[in-house]
Amino acid sequence: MKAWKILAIVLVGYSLYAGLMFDVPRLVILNETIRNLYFHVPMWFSMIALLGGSLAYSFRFLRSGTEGQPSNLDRDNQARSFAEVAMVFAMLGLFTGMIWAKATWGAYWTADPKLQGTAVTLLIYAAYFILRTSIDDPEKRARLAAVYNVFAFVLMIVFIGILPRMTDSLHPGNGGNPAFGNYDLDNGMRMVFYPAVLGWILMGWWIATLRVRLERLRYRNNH
Amino acid sequence: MVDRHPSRPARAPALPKQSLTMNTFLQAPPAEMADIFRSEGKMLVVLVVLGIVFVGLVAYLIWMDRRIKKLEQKP
Amino acid sequence: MAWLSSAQPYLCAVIRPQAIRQMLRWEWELEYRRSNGWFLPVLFAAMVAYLCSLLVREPSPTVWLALLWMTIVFSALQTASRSFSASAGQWLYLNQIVQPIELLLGKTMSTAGSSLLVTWTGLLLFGLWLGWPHIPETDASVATWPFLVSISLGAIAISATLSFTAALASKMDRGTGMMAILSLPLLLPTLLVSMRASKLALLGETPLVLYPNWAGEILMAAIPLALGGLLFPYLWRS
Repeated sequence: MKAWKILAIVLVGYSLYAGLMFDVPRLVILNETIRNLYFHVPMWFSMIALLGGSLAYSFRFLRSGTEGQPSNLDRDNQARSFAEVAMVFAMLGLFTGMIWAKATWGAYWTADPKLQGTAVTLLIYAAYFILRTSIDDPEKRARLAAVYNVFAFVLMIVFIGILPRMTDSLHPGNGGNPAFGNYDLDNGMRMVFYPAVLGWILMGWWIATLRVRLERLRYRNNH
Repeated sequence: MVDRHPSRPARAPALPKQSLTMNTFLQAPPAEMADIFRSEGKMLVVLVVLGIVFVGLVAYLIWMDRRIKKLEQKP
Repeated sequence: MAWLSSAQPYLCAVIRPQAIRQMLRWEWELEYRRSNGWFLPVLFAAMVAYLCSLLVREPSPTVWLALLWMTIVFSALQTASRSFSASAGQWLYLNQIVQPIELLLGKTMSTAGSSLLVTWTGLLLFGLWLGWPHIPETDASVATWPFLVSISLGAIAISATLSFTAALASKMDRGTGMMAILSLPLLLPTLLVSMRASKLALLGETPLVLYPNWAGEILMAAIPLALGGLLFPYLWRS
């Protein structure tokens, strides 16, 4: 078992224990739910990390087809698998966020930038998968999907970047709410939060690599 | 609205929190937390439950990883 | 001529103005002089505008704007999907006279032009059938020109994204049906900025407030164009 996988297990396990047992700032409205920080926010970070990985593989796929060399279809496999696992994390983040929102803000959904950003990301990448399923030729499918991936990722980043500046938000750190640094990250929450984020990113990466290897085996069996 | 953070010394992460009557006498907490819940040991129960879920999922991951590795090594 | 058909390394591309001019002249001939097809998106905008006028009597400004932008988006979708629907013989000819990136630029410019025409028509019809949005505290004459600028910039920005997705969809077998699904999520940032720009313009805000939003709209046109320029050679390889 590779070291980074063990690190993933250790970090997430630690965040689980510390997240429940250690002290947190005592705040109205949030009360104990502030501990969700350790479990809900890392979902989002993992999603971004995995989508970045998917982008990188798409990019490398496109580059691999130039200068007369045959294109490396395995890169396309990697791009797709990473996007897939990223979508799982996006949905997990969305659902956990909705539950938390209901408890603290009073509604499952609000016109909040981060929620909208996640929803848009899901829509964009749902279109990516629909695009893939509607092309039969593997070479063409890989190429068009990679092109869309690069285009869509940049626009998604633009969306996530623009949006918070344009609206008010209930999320901490935007639109009038005190930023994270204000009330929690200097109180020992950092010591649980950062390991949790890293641990979940590694976990997500592990799951994605498993998905890649599974797909390679399936390809090998069919050919 | 967010209250001003109570002025208690910033601590390193402490041992499991317990409801001490002395503590509640000295500074009334501005927000309700699960202190009584903890004092009855219930937080430990939550932790154990989640721990079991976590261990189970991780075990499944490791099993899948090993299985795939075995299949990859077959020529 | 061999370098025209081989895949270009994605960083070096030279755009020749006369090639763009040639492309635009070709588009003009094909779309406007010989066929009546250009009328279709205009008609579409008119139909949707009329439908909106039937659905709601005197909408509040926000609703009015929302309906307008929906109309613009779907009419622009019609425009863009037509722009890449040429026959195989026409593609052969085009690929010989222009480079891929010039092709994209030319197509985007002609789509933007068509979209502006469609947008202004839609805007006029909205004014006719739904009345102009009525904001009590503001002076309507002050708001007109900034409003037009906001709308026009938004239409151009939408065309930029749609040109690229139209190119993508044209490479697929059942692509035209997919255009809406592919384009709409990608259009969301553009639409957000445009909605905000047009709303602020209607409110009669000062140019100081409007300029960042216009800059945002221009940015939302530039980004797809730049990305499209980088990616188009890979897309157009076959």
